[in-house]
Amino acid sequence: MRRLNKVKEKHWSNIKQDVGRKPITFAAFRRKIFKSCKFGIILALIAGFFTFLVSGFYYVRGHPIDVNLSGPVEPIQSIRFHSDGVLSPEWLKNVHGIQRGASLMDVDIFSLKRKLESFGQVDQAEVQRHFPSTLKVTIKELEPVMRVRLSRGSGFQDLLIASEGQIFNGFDYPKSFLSKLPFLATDSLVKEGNQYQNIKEIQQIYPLIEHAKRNYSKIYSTWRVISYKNLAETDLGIGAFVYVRSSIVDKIIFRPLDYKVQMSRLSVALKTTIESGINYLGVVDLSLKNTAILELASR
Amino acid sequence: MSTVSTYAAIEIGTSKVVVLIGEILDGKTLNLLGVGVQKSKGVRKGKIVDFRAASHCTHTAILEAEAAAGVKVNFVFLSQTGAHLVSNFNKGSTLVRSSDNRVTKEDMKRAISDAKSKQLHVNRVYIHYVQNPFYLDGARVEDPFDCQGDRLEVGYLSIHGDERTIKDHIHVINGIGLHVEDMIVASVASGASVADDSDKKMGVLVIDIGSGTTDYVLYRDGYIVKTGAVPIGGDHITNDLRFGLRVDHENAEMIKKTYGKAIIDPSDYDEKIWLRTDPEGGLTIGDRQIRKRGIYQIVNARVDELFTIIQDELGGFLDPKHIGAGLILTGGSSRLNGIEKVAGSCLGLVATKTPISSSADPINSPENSTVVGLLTYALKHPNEGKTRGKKKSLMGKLSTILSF
Repeated sequence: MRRLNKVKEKHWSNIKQDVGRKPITFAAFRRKIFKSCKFGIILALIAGFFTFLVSGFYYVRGHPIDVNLSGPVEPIQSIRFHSDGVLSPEWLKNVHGIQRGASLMDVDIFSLKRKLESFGQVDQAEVQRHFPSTLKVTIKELEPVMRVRLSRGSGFQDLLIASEGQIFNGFDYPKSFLSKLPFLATDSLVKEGNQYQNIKEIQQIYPLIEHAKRNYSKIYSTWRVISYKNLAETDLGIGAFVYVRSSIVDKIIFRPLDYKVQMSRLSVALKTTIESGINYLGVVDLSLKNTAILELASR
Repeated sequence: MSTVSTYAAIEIGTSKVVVLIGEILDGKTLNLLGVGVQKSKGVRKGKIVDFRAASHCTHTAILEAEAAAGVKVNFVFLSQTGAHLVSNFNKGSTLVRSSDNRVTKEDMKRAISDAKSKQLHVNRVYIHYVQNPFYLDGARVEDPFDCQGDRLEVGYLSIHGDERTIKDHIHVINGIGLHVEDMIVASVASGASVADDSDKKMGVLVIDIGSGTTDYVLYRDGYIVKTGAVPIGGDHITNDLRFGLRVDHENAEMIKKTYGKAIIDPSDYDEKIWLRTDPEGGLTIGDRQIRKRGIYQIVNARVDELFTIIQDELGGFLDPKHIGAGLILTGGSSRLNGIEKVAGSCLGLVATKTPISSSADPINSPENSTVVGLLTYALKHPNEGKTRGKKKSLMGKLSTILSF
């Protein structure tokens, strides 16, 4: 093998070729100049191309181009409003502040969404542009489950409480609806800026209201005031009670556990007493484990 | 997508430098694009004796060819001629090693490397390795792989030349910024140009008679078996006429081309011609008449000597039974009247000349058979280029792409 390699080295192709030497003839000089010029021109073209790219990049970065992807835009012709609650298009008209003749692209839909969601009764708001001329607003409202009465000078103000404890000023609700909501008796209202903090005890009360409203609507319709007291200040439910004042019972005491059994027992108790001709009770204590204590009272 | 490569075939001869530019399409089709011819200077019998003068005429011819072709050259094939070229026939052999006596690729490689392993003298370099057929236990086989036998033999015709002479030729091409991609000896190139495959199969002797050298190549059974160069060419006939008739070089060249015959033709050898000294052809004092017989005798003596030398060099290879297609004469000096008759009688073969075209078509003229052969050889042997497969540097690749 070593011998063979030696033979290979003796081939003409292993003679070193030097193509870059100094030209010794005019023809070679001419050809070299031509090559150099061509190389120079190509380099200049490449350099020019990259310079164009780089300067173009910096120009575009310094002068952003507005690209209109929205298609043809006309002044807003209609606002389609939808709410799952009681708020009406008239309410929206008072709130949105959109100028007459404004086009869809003039409306800052994100700002409008924030503005709508700052309204206490609105849980979520969705604002969409429907080209060419329609704005669509969809509102999801909080559902009031109770109300709370605050004294205001010589009068009072009723605020509504949602299922998660949010307190808000009800708008557009019919009086007949509001009058059916029970009051919450509480001393834990805390104001933060222009709003009140969520009421925590609603977490204990709401399951009772929900169960009563759905399964014992007749009994629920008599409930006027509900309150919650946690005497032991623990989360275990021991020493905690829900008090309900209704139009036929002065005080119904619940344990904040197992409302299903307690409501069933209350229903039986009330049915029995009404059948016995007793129309008003002083206390019905359902907080004991296996018994319900009824205390008669006269109006 | 078709691939196009532009090649320049360059022959730096004793009397002229020829550059032929052609393009090879998809490795199949050869298109000739342009030719550049310059009177040669600084070259004697295939050797460069004046580097600057040889460079000047070669570079000018390259530019002329590029201008005619309208393209820039990418690759250069260079022909090599001269008495410094020597061919050796080396045989390599090996014993078949497998237990079932079937020839393997390894056996073939060993036989080939044995044939190629001959050492050269200092200052000699190989130009070609031409493979001959394999013989298995003495019987010729085209492809011995998997054949059964004991002893495998292969012959290689190795052509080598003087390193310094070859370097000079390469550096002339390098001087204009071009790289020599392949080098082919002139005789092999001429053979590729004028003899077809059936001639080679039957056996043919191709003799290319140039100005300073005469190259020959002998084919048998489709393989090159002998090649060489004799340092005698058309210039020697001109010189003989010059001294024999006591005329200047131009007149001697004119007499050779106009009245020269390689045979002593009795039909007109008593005719006389005027040797005029006036360049415009007018009769002046000192003008004289000579008989054609004298011209014929001088030419015949030199031509006869040339073929006798070739006969001696070919020796035992010159067997008319194995050279069925006879002798083909090409090269500029093959235009000489009656030369085929002298060659035929001297070498004992049926001799023909390549067709002589009009001067308007230099591509098909016998003078250019070597350069045309260079491109033909490159087309037929695409993988034989010795530097064509070599890796190029990044700048080299870039310059090829941009056609620098």
